[in-house]
Amino acid sequence: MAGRGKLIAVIGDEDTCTGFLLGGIGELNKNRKPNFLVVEKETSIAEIEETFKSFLTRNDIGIILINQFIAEMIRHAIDQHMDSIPAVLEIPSKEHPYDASKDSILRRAKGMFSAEDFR
Amino acid sequence: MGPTEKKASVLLDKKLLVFMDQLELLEEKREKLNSLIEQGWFFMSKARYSMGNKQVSALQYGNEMEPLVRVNTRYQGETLSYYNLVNILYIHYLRYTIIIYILYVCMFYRRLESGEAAFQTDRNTQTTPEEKPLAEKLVEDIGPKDTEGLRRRTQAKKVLTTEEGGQSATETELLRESDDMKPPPSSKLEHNPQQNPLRWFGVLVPQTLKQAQVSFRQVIELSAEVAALQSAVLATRKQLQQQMMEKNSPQTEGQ
Repeated sequence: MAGRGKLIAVIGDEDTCTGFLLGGIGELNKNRKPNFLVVEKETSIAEIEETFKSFLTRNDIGIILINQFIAEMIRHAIDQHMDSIPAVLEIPSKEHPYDASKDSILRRAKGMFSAEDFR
Repeated sequence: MGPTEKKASVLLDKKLLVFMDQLELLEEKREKLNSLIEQGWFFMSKARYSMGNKQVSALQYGNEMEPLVRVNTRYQGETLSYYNLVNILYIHYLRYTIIIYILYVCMFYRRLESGEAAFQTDRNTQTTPEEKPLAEKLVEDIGPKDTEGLRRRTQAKKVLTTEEGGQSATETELLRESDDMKPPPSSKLEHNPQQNPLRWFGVLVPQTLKQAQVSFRQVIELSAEVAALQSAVLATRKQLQQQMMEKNSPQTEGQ
């Protein structure tokens, strides 16, 4: 595996997954699990969380792209992830525009300052 | 304020400025990423309008896929060549296992300390059938080599039986040809997991779908940059916190 790059995983609605698969990130064969999950109305939160955690444990995934409204459903799992790799990127969806105040990374970065720090 | 405290404050201010610059850059990249994603959706919607609602959906995904783009990751402070060199030495020079193992462990701990990661996309050029390994070629070549949609016409034997006496020779030829016609073989493209994903949606796709693909390819390139920036922001934040603690701890001891 030395020298071979890592995959980009996607957890999103159908349009998001279709777009990124068009871009060429998809992996699906008989032996391996797919690196994407199409979230529909019937998809349970448990399934989303299980898929997210499985992506985190795989050592061949470098970036996880996830719609922000889906990230909100499993916010506790995303906040627990502290490693740089795989990187978790929250992206907008068609019905839910991106909100920087909800992004885990930006909240972690901006929340470090308090009145004590500026003395 | 003593000289050491002044120095610590100056370093802290510099680090803070770097942190603010990184945050600003991250915000810019994010805005660009989001607008490119929206552009991609817009083109996809236009393609769906012209092709039909179900023609651009998860139903069209290929049965097998191989990624055409990957991302190379490494932690800052180490070079890819050094990492690969250690890997190679570890594999090939087993008698030096202890020394190499110590080097590997040292590198691992250095990686944990820095925490900042770099991401770089690597797009594969699609392999043509000629470039595939021989074993795969044999599997791919089984079956007639005609292109999709065309049928091979066999040489019809002009046999006129007495029962078919009323039919012309031309009609008999046509009958034999229709018997020999087989359903077109499944397209080779379906068995090539590294095909362009545009092929899933048909042979002739509208220009808007191609534009959607271009947009999402740009999104993928930008995602790697945003991921790297996020990692840099968090690493700088950690360093800032450490420096603040170092600055404050002599003050509390002095009190």
